[in-house]
Amino acid sequence: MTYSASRRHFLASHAMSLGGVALAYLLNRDGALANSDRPELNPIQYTLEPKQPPGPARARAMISLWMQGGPSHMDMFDPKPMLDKYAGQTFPGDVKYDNAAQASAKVFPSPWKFQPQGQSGTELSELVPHLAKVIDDVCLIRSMRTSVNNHGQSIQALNTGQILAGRPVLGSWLTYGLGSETQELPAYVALIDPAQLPVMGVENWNNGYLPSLYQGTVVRPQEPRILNLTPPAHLKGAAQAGYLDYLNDLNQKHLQTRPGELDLQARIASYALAAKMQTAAKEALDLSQESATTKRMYGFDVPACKEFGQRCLIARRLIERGVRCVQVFTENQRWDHHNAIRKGLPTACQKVDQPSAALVADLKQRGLLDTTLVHWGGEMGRLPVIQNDAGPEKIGRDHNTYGFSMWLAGGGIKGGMTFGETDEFGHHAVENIVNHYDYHATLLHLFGLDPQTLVFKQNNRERSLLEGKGRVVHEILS
Amino acid sequence: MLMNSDFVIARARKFAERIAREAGEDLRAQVVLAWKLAFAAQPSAEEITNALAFVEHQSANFPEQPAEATASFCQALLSSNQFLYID
Repeated sequence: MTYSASRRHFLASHAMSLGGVALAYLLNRDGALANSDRPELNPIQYTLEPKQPPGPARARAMISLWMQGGPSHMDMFDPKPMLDKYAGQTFPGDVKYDNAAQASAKVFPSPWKFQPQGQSGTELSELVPHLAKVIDDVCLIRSMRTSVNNHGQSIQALNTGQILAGRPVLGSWLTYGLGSETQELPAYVALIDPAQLPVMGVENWNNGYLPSLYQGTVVRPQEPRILNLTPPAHLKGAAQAGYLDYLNDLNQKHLQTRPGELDLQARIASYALAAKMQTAAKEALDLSQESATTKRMYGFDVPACKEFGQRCLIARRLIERGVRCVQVFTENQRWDHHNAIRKGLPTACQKVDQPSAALVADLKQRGLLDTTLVHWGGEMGRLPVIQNDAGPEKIGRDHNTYGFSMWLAGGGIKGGMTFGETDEFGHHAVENIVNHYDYHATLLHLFGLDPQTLVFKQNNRERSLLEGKGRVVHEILS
Repeated sequence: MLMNSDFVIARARKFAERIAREAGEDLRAQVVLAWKLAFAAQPSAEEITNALAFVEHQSANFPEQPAEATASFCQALLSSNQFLYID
């Protein structure tokens, strides 16, 4: 079967037929006709060629360190002396719980000590000693809010702008808007944890309604990080080149009879990319090229953080080679400390603290931090009260999306500052609140992208990341 | 990647063995049979010409192993969007 006309060709041609004219007349008379948006008659070719953003850009690339599960802000980033004052007493106010069965209203002071760090004197807990060393390059936001109290929905909010499924993620918007600086590596890479995928799985790097070309590419968390990267000896060189030419020819002819099929376009592009990746990806993922000093910096000699350190270092190497966006994920619910937080939280911190800080320091020493935006955060924080009141070793904290912390560094972000505040107990963001859409507006601004023009037409409706919401948080820009 | 996968390369070689066995020595008959088996369609004259030109081109790359040229053609069919996507 071959199709010589797409659905939009069919509709377009019928719009000009007699029936279409009559309908247009009737609609026009009733004032019901929308303004003169015409369907695209020629299939649009989407590419990953680099594009100049409409505005001045501070950031060129983004590395997002995704702490899936909800790091406890009041134990790491946001000291609350009031919790000590009320220790074990009833929380004086309402609490929004996720897990009602294990809920308690007993105030739970942080078991960890806070101290001012760096020139800026930002208070951090003893759980993040490495972050303390780079805190003067970091903007710690203590007033994040998504207000949707579960993992999946809050991930969607932070990753796609809304809690609804099926929308494109930030990395897809960035590559759609800016293309890529390299045509030899994927524009947008997801570095997943060897243990598990994060909650929402592949949705975390999904292009949604944007063309499939802008989907994140997963790199395997263990060697070989890309399967079948090396051609067998007899298929190297001219034989492979001839094969790829013929295959491309087959696919282009197939596409010609199916105009506008974005998945087919994307697959042709991914084949072309795969051919180039045979050498480029091998080189980019080869950590043996890094010095012993660099490896030590990222914690390669520390069993607890070696693996995460490797992925952070890969992220830097990809950005250096022109990749637009890299996400580094922790595994499913690593930070979801409903129970046994005294044991679980230090373990999670040991996994990421040193590599995350090393990434900031390393980007800085290579002159890449100015143009690379580093994001560190999860989809929520935790509650100021005890969950699972079954003894000190078993207690934890429930979800809190009404006030939590995350940090940003580089790419036009002002270092050595904190922004926003939660209430005295750390439950709700109360001052200089940064909603997920405010974070996104700020992000687009840093990349020189205009939320009014970064749109994608879906069913003749212009869709965007912000959908009209969000304010650029100018206070945190350098 | 289908391009370098041992599995796909092995399947392509088996496919090439089958068309040689069932269509005989005539390369044109082999190409037509492969096309029909992969796409459930008769190839056009142009498609046959292109396919034969490709096999001939690949033969130059495999002077010692002529079967690799038709295997390469079979791998292209198995990796094509037309084979992988259902309309």
